Amino acid sequence: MNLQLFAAILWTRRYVIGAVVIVTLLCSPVLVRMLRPSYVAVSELSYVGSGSPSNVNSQSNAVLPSTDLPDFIMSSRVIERAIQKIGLASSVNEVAPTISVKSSMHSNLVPISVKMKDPVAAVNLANALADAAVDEYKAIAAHQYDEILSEIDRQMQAERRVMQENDAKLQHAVQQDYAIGSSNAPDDLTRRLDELETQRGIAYATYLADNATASAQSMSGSERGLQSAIHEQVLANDPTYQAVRAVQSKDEAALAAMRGGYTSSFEAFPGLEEQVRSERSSALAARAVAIRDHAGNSATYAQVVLNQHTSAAQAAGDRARLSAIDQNITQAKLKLADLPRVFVAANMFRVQRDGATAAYQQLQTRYQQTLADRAQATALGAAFVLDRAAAAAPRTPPLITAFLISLIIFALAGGAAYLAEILDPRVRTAASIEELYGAPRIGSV
Amino acid sequence: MDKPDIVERLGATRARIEAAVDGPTVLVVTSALPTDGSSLLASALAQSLIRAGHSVLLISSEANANARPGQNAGIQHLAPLRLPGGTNNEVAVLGLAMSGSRDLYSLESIRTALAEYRERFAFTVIDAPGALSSGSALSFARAADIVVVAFEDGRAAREADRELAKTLKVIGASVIGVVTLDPKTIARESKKRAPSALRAKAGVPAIPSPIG
Repeated sequence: MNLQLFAAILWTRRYVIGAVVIVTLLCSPVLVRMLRPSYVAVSELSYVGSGSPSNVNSQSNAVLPSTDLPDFIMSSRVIERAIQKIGLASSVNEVAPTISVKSSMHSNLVPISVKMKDPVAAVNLANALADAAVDEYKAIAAHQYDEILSEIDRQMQAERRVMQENDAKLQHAVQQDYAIGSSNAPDDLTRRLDELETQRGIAYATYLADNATASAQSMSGSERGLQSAIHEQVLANDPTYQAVRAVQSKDEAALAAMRGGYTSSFEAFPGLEEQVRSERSSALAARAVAIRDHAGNSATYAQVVLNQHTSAAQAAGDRARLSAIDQNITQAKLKLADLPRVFVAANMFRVQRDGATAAYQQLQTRYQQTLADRAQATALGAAFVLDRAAAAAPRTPPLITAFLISLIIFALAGGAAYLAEILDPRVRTAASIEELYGAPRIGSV
Repeated sequence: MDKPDIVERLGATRARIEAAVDGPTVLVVTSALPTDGSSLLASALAQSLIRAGHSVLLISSEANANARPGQNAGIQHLAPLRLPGGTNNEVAVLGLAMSGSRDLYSLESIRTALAEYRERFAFTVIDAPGALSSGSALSFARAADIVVVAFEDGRAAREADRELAKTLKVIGASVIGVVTLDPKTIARESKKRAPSALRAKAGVPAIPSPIG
């Protein structure tokens, strides 16, 4: 269709065009309000690995070439990670068409564009995609080291279990015998035995002394020359005896007085003498009773008895202590004798534990080294977020939108005109005439 | 400024016809439908040729005394007529379609008559409207030197158009082109060219056909 023919059609259908333009203009406010504009948010990744195109000849630490970054960012893993990061209620298939990633052979910058109706969601998704891409990239870079770290960690746990088991066995053995816990148990046991022997000597000496004291204390008061004093204290403190003695003394005094004034033939003498004898007998009897039954009335006697008991108790204590020391000595000797057997088992635990500890420390060193290697790998081939999306811009500026709407209106009008021309069976053009009759139009009046 | 009349506007068409022929020519103006304005075109074309200094004979293939505006344009009632602005050239308008013998419509009769006209007129213009429904129109078209098709501008193409084009091709008619006529022009000019108006303008009564 040439331009002239198209212009002719437009002119012929000018009323249709006018009607379409008017109707479209009348409807355009409603259409504009119904049409929600799309917003575009852009975040930017920077790729600094030596695998970038400018460094292809150098040793590459990069996990991916930069040309693969768009596909990597558009992968379902990265998108899924971004969706989870911001809690977006959409599937990967729904989100993927809104994402656009471009990369250039001559640039290390990778812009990530997200086009959505919601500007906030567009910003969040653009940033989440950048973060997810960086995280995923690091995860891939560190993946080989993660496997090594996981294996080392597994071995460390095994060694730790061996250490714990042997520690538990040693602890249990130590609880049963303290010597096992010590590395120089024979010396300790010998020293302990010496100490016990020394203690025994001291205890035995003490025992002998206390025993002697007890023997001395156990002698009777008469044996010790204290009997008369005790008897005196007993008699002095016995009221019965004192009463009898007082009567006897008074009667003896009366008898003596009578003897001084009277002769022996005084008839009162025999009776008084008899009374005195009787009283003397009573006094002797009272004395015997007092001494026999009331020895406690003597402080000296009480002290003697107390001393006897004390000495006996001390001697008994000494004997018990001596017996205990002897028992300890016997046990120590037994332990010393049994020490070689116990030591073998304990040493076995200890050796196993020490071996596990050494292996654990070695593994720990390897673990630290691997961690350092991984950090180095992720740092050398790193992608990082250079610029985060702060806001989403409308995809088309208002002026362009207005222009597009105008264009759409004219396209609609032109289309309507052309459609009307097609649907209109009337013959209006020279071409139609020529087509119909196979002859040119030679005039029009 | 007045719009040029139909005769003036046919100047270019006339020039193309003059360029396409050599010597006395019989020209048939026909159409697929009777209302396409072929009679108006034939009349106006004849006038245009007269103004160009040619001797012209205008013939209607069918006589219809009761023709309404737009049909035959009263051609059969116009002869002889010297049109305004004409020269000393001989001008005749004849009505051919009389109520006479059917022999008049035989190809041989038509060829004989046309041969005679060629000797007398530079252009013999024959109005043959509604070719598909006319008994004589196709005979004239076959016997004529050139054929011009009239077509009402803006109407829908119909099967009659395709049939006419096909028929003209089959009978060997030399169609040099199509002239489109605006429906308003057809209506306006046909009224002006009504038989009574033309007779009054010419100041002559209608005469019977010399052929009849």
